[in-house]
Amino acid sequence: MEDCSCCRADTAGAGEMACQLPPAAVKRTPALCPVTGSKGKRVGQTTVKAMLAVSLAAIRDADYFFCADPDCPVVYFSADGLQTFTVDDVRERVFQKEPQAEDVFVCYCFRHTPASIRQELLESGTSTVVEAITAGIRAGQCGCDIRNPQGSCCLGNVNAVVKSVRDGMGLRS
Amino acid sequence: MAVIVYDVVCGMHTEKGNWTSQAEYNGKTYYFCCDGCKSAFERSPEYHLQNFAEEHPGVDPSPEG
Repeated sequence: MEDCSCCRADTAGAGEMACQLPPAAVKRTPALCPVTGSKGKRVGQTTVKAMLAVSLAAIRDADYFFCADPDCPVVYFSADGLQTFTVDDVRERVFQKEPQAEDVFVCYCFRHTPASIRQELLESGTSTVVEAITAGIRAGQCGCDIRNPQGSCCLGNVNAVVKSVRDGMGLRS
Repeated sequence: MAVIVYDVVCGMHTEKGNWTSQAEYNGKTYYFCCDGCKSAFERSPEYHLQNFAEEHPGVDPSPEG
């Protein structure tokens, strides 16, 4: 494997690739949050630009990472760790930062919250949220890269919330 | 018995056959909940496989069967 720091292959859109290595040959060292040391998940600059509530003049030509640690205020940090953006710098409340909150979006594209998922389960005993989001995705309506602070698909998070709420209510899957 | 496959990008899972998005990597077929996840995987498969393995220890995202 070769190391490469010249591109953002995992989240960059077509045309953003500068690296000449085939994507599968690119190996990266994990980026750690400079505040907590948690491993970050790479996010594209499109996501960072869409989510920041501060001047985009702060954006550098750098790789950015998402810190999902609920005990850390940092949402995005640069690969070199010199730059951080906290929950106060972001336009949306961040699901991962508020694991107990019922009114934070878990699906930012179609605006589902733990509370709305719970409400449907209370009313009908079943959840259609995954199917609804999937239908939206298939209809080309989702915009995870510009709506979700993590910059990627929410379905894994949504499924985890559905399971957690179901378990809490004593419902069978 | 149903075979469960995982989307290694977003962590979603379902019964094998429910998702149409798939990609081949190192001789194995991986399945995805949407084309966005598939595209992210194809751009950096090792990155996502490593993340998935760390977050889901011991889970085979694409078991045979």
